[in-house]
Amino acid sequence: MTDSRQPEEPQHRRRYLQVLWAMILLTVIAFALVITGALPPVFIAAILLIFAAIQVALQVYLFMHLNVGRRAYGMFFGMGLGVAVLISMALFVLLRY
Amino acid sequence: MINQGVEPAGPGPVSPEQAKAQDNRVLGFWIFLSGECAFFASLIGTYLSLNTHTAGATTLVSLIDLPLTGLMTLSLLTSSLTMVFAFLAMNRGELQAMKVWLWVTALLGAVFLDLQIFEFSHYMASGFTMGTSAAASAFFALVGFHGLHVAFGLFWIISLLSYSFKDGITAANTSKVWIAGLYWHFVDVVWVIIFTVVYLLPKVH
Amino acid sequence: MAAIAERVGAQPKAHAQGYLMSWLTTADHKRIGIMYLLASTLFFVVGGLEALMIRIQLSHPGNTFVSPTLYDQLFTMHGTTMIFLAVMPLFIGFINCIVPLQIGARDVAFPRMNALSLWLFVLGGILLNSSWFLGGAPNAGWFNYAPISLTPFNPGPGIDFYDIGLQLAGIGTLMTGINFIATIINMRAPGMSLMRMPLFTWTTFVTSVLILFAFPPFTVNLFLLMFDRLMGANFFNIAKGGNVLLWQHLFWIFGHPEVYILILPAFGIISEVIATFSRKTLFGYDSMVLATIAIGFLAFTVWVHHMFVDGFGPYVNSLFAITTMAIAVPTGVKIFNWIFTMWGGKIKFTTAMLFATGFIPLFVIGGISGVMLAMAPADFQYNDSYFVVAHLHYVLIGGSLMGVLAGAYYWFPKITGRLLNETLGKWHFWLLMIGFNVTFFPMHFLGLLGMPRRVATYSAALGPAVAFWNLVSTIGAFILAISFLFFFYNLFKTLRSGERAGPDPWDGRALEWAISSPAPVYNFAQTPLIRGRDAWWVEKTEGDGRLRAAEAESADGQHHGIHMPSGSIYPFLIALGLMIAGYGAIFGLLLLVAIGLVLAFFSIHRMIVAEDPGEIVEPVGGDGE
Repeated sequence: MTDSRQPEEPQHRRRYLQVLWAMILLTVIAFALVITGALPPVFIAAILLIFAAIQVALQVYLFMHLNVGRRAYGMFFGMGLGVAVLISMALFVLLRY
Repeated sequence: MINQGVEPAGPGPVSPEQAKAQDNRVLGFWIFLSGECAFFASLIGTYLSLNTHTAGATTLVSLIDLPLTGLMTLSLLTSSLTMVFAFLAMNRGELQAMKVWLWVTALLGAVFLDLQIFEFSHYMASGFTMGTSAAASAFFALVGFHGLHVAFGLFWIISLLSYSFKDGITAANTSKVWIAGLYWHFVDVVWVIIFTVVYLLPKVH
Repeated sequence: MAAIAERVGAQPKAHAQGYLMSWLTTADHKRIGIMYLLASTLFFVVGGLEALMIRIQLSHPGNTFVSPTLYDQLFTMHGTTMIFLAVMPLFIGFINCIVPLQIGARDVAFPRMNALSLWLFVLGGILLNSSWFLGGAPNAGWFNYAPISLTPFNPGPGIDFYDIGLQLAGIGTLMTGINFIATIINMRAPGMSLMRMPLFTWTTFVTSVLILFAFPPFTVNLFLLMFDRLMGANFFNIAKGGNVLLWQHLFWIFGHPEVYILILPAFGIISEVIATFSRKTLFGYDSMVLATIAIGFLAFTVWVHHMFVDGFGPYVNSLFAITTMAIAVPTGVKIFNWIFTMWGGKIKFTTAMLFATGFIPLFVIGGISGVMLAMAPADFQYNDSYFVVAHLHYVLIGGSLMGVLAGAYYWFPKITGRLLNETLGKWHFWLLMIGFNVTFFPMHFLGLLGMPRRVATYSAALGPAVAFWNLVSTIGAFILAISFLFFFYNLFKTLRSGERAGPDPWDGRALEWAISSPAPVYNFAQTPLIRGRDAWWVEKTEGDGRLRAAEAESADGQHHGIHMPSGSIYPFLIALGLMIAGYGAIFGLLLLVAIGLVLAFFSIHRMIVAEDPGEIVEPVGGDGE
């Protein structure tokens, strides 16, 4: 583990706040799109999925710091996500269709 | 770079055994979270395969109250940030600030849980229970297990707050806060997927 | 147990705690491994007796030795016990005893979580088996398909015992998986790069990854079934929109990796044993590692081949047939590598080596019938017949169990300090080879003759051939049982008065043979420096026959105390609390659930907040003494 006792840069906290605002903004847009139905359903669905993916990436990279950790962390979490996609999509496709 | 200064490392001398134990703990926790991905994927897959199987009974989509879900999302997202602030405070060696941020995190988690209990009891009163249909069972299993994860996170944070800082911030207890934080963020990640798949997508029509 | 404990456990200092407490609280991977081996051997005997009762019942047509009701419970408990409570934990026992030694570690990454894994497995297994006395054992087969497992068809508590017993044991196994991934990544001695790890360590690593990703779907599945049975949910209830295929999918997404969890460690053991007794380094090490990883990856892509007759249509079935057949490729690579390792080697046929070489033809037979089953159109013929029973016993006994036994004869001296008797061992091997083939080879014929599995009896009208081969099979089962009497007598005799083993009785290659037998509590007095593949062999042939220390000794030339993790009673209490809560859930006693959960959560809380003070152990003498 790296020594982290270097002087804290004051903008850290501001950066994290910006990330939070970004996530809240994405969430508000997503909810607003659904409530108002401002776009055709296909577009809204696509936007929702993209926003969710962005939020997951922000959480994993900026809050959980996957990118500064050891390679093994990312390797296992990546495998976990791969298995997750496999399982959920397989159940969805094979049982619904 | 935003990620500087956020790897756990407390003050004071660290023995090789302690360093190894901390390293193991963080690695082990990432491995555990990878397994959790498969756990929630199974529940999400179950939900996706059953959510149209409403057996002609009350449907979820007729009950969903999006502002309530939005409020829950807000509290959980914000708690993720306060968890990061707790961690930054710990790395600066500010015990009190860290404790305050951890309490704020726990409080926001409690708000989320409270809203979820309210939501569930409202659904049950409206005739939408575990036994209503396969779709209802799948909903309660997925969202309920997420709620249990939040509850366990609360139990964990409060355990840490009550017992782990009697000697202040030490090399031994920093990684405990770090992995509690990882857990908390992961639970938030799962919620992002749940509110998209369970609450928003079915409303798009 | 006392005899083993004396040698292995050898608590370094007199503790105020009693003998029993020292085992209940231990966090030493070697003692935990021994308890795994003991408990799973007991479960193995129970499962074996169930198998014998099945074979007696089937010895001739129309037999009434057991009722159909009891028969259903017997085959269910036989399969469940052998897979979850015998073979898998036997491997976990060896993994615990050996892997930390092979990588030069003092212990596993999470010693107390390791203890929790053990107690969840033991208490979960006891809970499952207590069903015999508390209202009837589970009776829906080891894969427990819905809807036969649902309340309307199965009102007794048997299925609940299956559900909650396996849930407990499964969570324990999941933690073992996490533990050994972290151990192998983080606890290797300096110089032990990934591509220098012994094959057993490699297969343990891949097995642990399979556990990590296969057990969570199983956990979910068991929860869904529990909700259906105990809380009125409708996941599998067709009347309310449920889908019974959901159980099958989630079960086999877990179940197929599970059968590789049962075979990969055997591959590792066989690789160690064959290399040692051929006195050659393993042929094609790199391809062995790649094949192991490939098998691990493919394990998650084949599950629908258990469900060919469900009617997914030709496209889905073809896809999964192809991925299934693809697994034959890396497996074939392994078979050839073992043969080439023996080729030109100075082979010494010890009992361990006999089991390792016996493994190859038996596993190949199982593999070939596996490829036959993978052909989707042909599978419609084999499905649910004795052909499948023959196949799975060839891979699980001819494969996994032969691996376990090779490991048992090979590592027994390292675990206990005494050598198993070779004469008795050879009797065991030959009787097992004869008994096994006489029992299970005829089942191929029985399946093709149309005998269905899991039916309590068969009609004489099926013809004399069916009756004949069934009788042959039953006779074989008794020969198999007798072979194990030799084994158990051997264990008993050896522990009492067996020949003492030196540190390196087999002239071994991996690191575990560099230290005394049994290993001291701290494993290595000094963390060793690894200088090549076959780490110990390198030191014996190119070095001075002693391990190099990774760090220079301290200035005064004295050994200093070694910091070891301390034991804890909380892992046992967590498992006990969950077991109590499990009984409460099965019998609908909410108070009992509450008591159990309070005990478990109190103990988890203590585990979270407690510091592990560790204890200092003084090494006695140097390595290899």
